[in-house]
Amino acid sequence: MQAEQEQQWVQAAQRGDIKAFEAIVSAFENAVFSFVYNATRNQMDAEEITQDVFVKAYRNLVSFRGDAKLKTWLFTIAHNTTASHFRKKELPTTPVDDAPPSQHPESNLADALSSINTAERNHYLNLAMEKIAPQQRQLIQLFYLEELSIKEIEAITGLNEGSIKTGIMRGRNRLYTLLQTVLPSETQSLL
Amino acid sequence: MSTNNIDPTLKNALANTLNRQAPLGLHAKIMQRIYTTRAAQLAVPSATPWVVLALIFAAAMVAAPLLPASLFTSLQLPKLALPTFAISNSILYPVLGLICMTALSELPALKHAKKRV
Repeated sequence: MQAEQEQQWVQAAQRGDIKAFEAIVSAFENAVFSFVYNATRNQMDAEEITQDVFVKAYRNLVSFRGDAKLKTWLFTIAHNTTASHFRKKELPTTPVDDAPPSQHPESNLADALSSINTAERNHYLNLAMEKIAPQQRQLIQLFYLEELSIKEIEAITGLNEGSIKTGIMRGRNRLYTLLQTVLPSETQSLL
Repeated sequence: MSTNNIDPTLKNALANTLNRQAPLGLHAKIMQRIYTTRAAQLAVPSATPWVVLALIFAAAMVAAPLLPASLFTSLQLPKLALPTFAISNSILYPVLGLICMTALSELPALKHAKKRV
């Protein structure tokens, strides 16, 4: 999209056009919901936080100058709102670099995943995802799925470049280790 | 570290796992809260002048007795007779003055609020 389209929505919404803001909600609700859900792993909490994110965005839209991408700005709000939710509920947070580092090339993980069918792959990956730290899940989402740069992830999470890279690498390695334990024995031999 | 070199299989698998469809009804809930927020925002400007007035009134009530009585006698203002309220003119004049000034200064905001609603 659409940078131009986004800019038009923002400008119209800043002038009070609620339909333009609704277009922003429609464009980003899935991404924001996924981001929040990957941190909380709780549907109800994720729904509540996603609502809060868009309300905060609406309230602060006048202060959005377009220096960052709209998506980055929304993820920043989502990250802060999720962190505040964790603090309020006094849920434990795990640092991004909690897991011991291990070295598994990315290609090995891809090979393991390509050897099983889609449904199985999603099932096992989901199981493995449950086990990794919420922050690592978020970093993996931001980097691999949203294709944000390290600089943008820095802006969203407030982490420095080293921590982000370490978090992504350790998340991926942990995922690999976990997949080894949950994949059926016949697939394990392919790893 | 670049996203360009990510294996498509891995990316696909991650996308299927991490991407969640927002539940049905979430969009409506978000928009409902946006409309509520908007209504509250629009209501604030019309409420503000009266809140300001109330605060000024309270401040004047406190401050007026501290002003020298000679200030009012030297101005030779007509004596306001308010039989139902035992408020001295030294309180009444500053309060009325402040209310008038504030009301005048808030008139544009009131008009604007009315128009937006």
